[in-house]
Amino acid sequence: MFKWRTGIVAALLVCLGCSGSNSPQAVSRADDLPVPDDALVVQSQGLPGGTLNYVLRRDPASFNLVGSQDTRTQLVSSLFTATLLELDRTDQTPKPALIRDWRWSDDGLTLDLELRRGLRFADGEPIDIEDLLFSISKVLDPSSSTSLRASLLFEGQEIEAAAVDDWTVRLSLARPDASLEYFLCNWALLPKHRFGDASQPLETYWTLQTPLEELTGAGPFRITEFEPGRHIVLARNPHYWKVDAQGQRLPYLDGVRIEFISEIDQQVLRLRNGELDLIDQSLSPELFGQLQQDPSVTAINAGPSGDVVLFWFNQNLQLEPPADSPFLSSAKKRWFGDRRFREAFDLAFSRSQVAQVAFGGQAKPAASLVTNESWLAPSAKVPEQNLAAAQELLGQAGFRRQGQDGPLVDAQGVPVELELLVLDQPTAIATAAMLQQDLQALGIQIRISRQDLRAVASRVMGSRIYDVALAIFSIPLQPSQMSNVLFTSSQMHLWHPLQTMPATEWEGRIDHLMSAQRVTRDLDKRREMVYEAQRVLGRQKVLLPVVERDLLIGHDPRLRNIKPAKPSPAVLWNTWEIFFAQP
Amino acid sequence: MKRAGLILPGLVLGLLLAFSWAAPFLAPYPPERQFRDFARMQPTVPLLRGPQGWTLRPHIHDYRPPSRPGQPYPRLSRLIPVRFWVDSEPYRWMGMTWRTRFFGLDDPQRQIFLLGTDQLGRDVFSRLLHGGWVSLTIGLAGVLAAALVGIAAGSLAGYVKGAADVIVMRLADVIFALPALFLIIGLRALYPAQLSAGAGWWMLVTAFALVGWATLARVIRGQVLSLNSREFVLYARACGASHWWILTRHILPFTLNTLLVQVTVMLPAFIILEATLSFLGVGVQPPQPSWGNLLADASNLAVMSSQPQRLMPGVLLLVTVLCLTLIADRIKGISKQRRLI
Amino acid sequence: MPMGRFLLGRLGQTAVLLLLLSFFVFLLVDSIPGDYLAEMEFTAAIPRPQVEELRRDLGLDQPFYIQYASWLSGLVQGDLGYSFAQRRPANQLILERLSNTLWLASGAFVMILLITFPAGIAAAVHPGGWIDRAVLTFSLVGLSLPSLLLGLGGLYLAFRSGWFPIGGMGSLRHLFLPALSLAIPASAYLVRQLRLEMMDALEMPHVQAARARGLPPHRVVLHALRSALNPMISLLGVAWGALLSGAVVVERIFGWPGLGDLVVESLSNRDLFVVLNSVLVAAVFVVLSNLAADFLLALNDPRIRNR
Repeated sequence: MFKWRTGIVAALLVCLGCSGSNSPQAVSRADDLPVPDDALVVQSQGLPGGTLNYVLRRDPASFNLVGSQDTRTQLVSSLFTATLLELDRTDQTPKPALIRDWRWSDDGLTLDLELRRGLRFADGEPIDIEDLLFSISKVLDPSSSTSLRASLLFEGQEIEAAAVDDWTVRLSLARPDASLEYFLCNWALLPKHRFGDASQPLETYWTLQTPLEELTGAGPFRITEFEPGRHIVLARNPHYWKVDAQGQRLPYLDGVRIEFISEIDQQVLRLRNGELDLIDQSLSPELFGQLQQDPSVTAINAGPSGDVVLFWFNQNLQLEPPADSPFLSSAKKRWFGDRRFREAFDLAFSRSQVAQVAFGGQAKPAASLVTNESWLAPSAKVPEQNLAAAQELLGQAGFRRQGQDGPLVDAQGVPVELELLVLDQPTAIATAAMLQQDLQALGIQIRISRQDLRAVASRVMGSRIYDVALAIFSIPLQPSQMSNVLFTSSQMHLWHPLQTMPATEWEGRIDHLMSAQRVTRDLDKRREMVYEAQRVLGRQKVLLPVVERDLLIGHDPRLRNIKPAKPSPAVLWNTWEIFFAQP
Repeated sequence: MKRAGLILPGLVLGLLLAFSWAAPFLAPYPPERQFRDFARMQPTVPLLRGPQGWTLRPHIHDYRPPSRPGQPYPRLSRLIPVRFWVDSEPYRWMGMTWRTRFFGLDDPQRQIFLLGTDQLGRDVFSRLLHGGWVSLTIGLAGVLAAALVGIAAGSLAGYVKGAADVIVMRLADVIFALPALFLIIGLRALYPAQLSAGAGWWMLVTAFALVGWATLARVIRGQVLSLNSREFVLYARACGASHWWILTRHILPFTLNTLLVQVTVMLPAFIILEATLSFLGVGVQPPQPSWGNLLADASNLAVMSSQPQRLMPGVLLLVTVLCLTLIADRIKGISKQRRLI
Repeated sequence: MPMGRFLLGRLGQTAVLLLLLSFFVFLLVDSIPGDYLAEMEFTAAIPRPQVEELRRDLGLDQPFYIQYASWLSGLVQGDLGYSFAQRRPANQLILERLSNTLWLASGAFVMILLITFPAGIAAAVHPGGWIDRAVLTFSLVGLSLPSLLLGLGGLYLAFRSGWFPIGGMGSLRHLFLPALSLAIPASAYLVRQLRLEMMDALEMPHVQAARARGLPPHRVVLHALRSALNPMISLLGVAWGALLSGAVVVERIFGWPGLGDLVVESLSNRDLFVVLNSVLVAAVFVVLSNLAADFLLALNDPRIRNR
């Protein structure tokens, strides 16, 4: 799913008290229960013990993986809940998880999901088909308005779920869905016995106020302690359903402790002092440079992270602004609606300089919203900075400079002054400051308004009172998962959310292409459609990708099985096999 | 004798103020200008010793961007002379357009960065000077505004008495009870999230007046009350002088001494407050520099350890406040002595 | 019972002050343009009538004075309202953050006492001696070092030396640097005052008499301290109140999840109930600490309560 990138800096606290011996053989643990025959075998070898402390900048929004809109929630809930399938990040394909096997019918309209047998939730209750049916129906329930549901039920899609036998559920679709497996990777198995009569919409469950014992899942850990603003403690789930090559029950770690520390500096300090173990996101280039020189820390640039800095114009043109609103005056409506005006911005930015300066070289210019090489349109090119061309476009659109170096004014003489809404995060702020100077060269005045994530999200998706905005997003790798930003009806359709009818012809075209590729099973034809959608979006210049940052990681050298790969969570996606090598 | 202690801190303060006033001329570059090829650079120190030994003409070593960002800037052996009274792009200062700056380089491809550059390649030295002007004037204007409000409220309370006295003093109590920083943060919310540089400056000045007036009003009121019953005031009143005349000619002049003491204590507090507010992001808005903003920019550990010179605004802040404290001490001492006489 | 009457009088004054204070804070926050609900009104996903209903439920459509009255009566009953941004009652939120701030402030206060009294007394006993000069220098430098600079310096020190844990709160070691950053400027001021008061007190007739009677020096100092204590109690009361306010920047630098952090954060979310009530809670603390100082003062000095 297309998610707000929250500027998480995550870190793991070293637990010095690793238990167990140095022997490479499987070590049985006191709390080990009989392993189910159907357990998933992971080709991995490690040493059990140790507590891993993870650090987030602040609390997650909720504990509800399915109802979540942010990467923090996604991360925390992925530790204590398990999904039906799992995305193998080494080859980017869905792999069996709680569902041991799945079969498509020839017409692509039914999918049989076979549940793994003999598993238990973290509270010891057995997992059966009722839980699976419940998890599926709760998401598809009309009262639910999760983004997962919105992505599944794209135009004209209907999904019915029914039990075929004691272990198999059959999904019957109205239209084929080429990406359904990928969505199953985000679909958590819910414990039916913890939901009572389950009369409320799914997204209202598992908030931060929910009693911890209700937060039960089949993930590698279970939550044992939560203090808002302070920390979350998770202990190993003794019923976890994965074993390693030796038959040792996973996860290797005894637990995970997540602290909430807003200052990135403090997290880095703790890492360097040996109190913490891993920092995997939002590391500034300066701090990364420091970590590289520190022998007690392993610092890696793991390549493109899938996190893209996006700049966009508010396109809520039909919304009548309040009379006294300083934003969205009728003049601004006119400017933002003009493609030439928007393209001038695109030409004014120097993306390579943003990558070099604001990101200290730890980013690359972005050509398209799509970051996955196999879906990137061949025509997508990084626009080069060209102030002369930008000036000419503005001239054609009726703008002129007042005096030689004076402000840019439109045909009515209104000076172009915009408020840029920016996520309060060092690299985003630095990017904004650079764009500010680039646009100054065209006579455009930009005032930067730094807001935290919650404020940005509520302005963009809620009140929609802003001019232009810049934020960092975690971009999914599958085009179908991007439907929530591309579909005009979606709340995440950043520049103009929740449209009942596509406001423009080109947005309608993208809607059409994106749903058509979903129901097409021929990969080449799908590619063509996704390329075409990128071309349309690229031409309109409403949403300008700026740079894609690199994934910067610093961790304790004793940590093993760190296999960073996008999409997010890019480092802690395989917590079951992460372990500490003894010094 | 006592006055001698005023000279050194006064001189230092005067110099600081003069330098930051002349910032547009003294600073080699506009404070917001980004030299993007040279971000996060170490200082280019002007040297007086070249290959031919000592000279009186300072020069710097040439440099070039590093092969990878984050690496140190290679220092080349070529020397670039530092020039004085150099031509520059036009800038506005004191209502006029100028084309000359105090120093700089002839080579347009190279710049002199006395204190290095920040993460966007802005000249830290230029920002420091410009920021000083913002910080110092906000403090001074804030004190002035607080003094005006405080004198007016205090003399109203002390001279008119009655209901006016009660209202003013209760209001002052409220201000005393409210933590100043919280109050200003609350006030900040009355303004739109984004302010132009000028509006931001005024916002802070009004906020400082609101926080500061109560202390002064209390002191002035006490003085006015006691002076009001003195013989010379009674005499003036008997002679038919107007209230305004009595207040401005016979009462307020005698409060000046106390006022001066209070104001010298308040000024450093306000300068610190400005830095603190800007540091918290509710004061002067970036990219306009102020000492607090510059400190906030430099307050991450990576910068502190690799470019410690960027903590210079903190040093200047310390020096300013130290000088002001010394002056306040002296003034207090002098005013005490006078009262004894 | 003069003590009882004194206390009653001061309590009455405090109640009036608190009422005024609440009115002022309410007025201030009420005039901030755009609350959380105003943003909701523009949210297409939320039907307008629903926002109107919420506004009615919360009484936000009422005239100003009714809103104030209902807010006040809620406050008196211990209801601090609701945080829209965090979607939970503000009581828990504010009290949690307040206790963190109080923990920090208490640590700083203990440090202030530990610095001020030994240093101030030692300086006053031998005016002009090397201890006195050292204390005066400390005081001058301390006064010029705002918590902002001390906090940054402390952070750097911790980073370089690794002696202190950084970020968050947990052990006493976490407390040390933030508390010290708060304590130094405050004790720099207090130590001066104590030194002056002690010097005056040592000259007082009854102290001189005690000295003449041949009391050991430490008894003489204790004698003088009792007189010097009076003004110090009021000043310490003020200092305690100021700690709450000054803690904002230290909380920010050291990542201490306190009340100040909450106010800054809630303001950017336009979560005005939280802002309103946090500011008021902080102000109430200042007022109460002044009251407590007055009370202690009256205990120490019978003349005051008879005045």
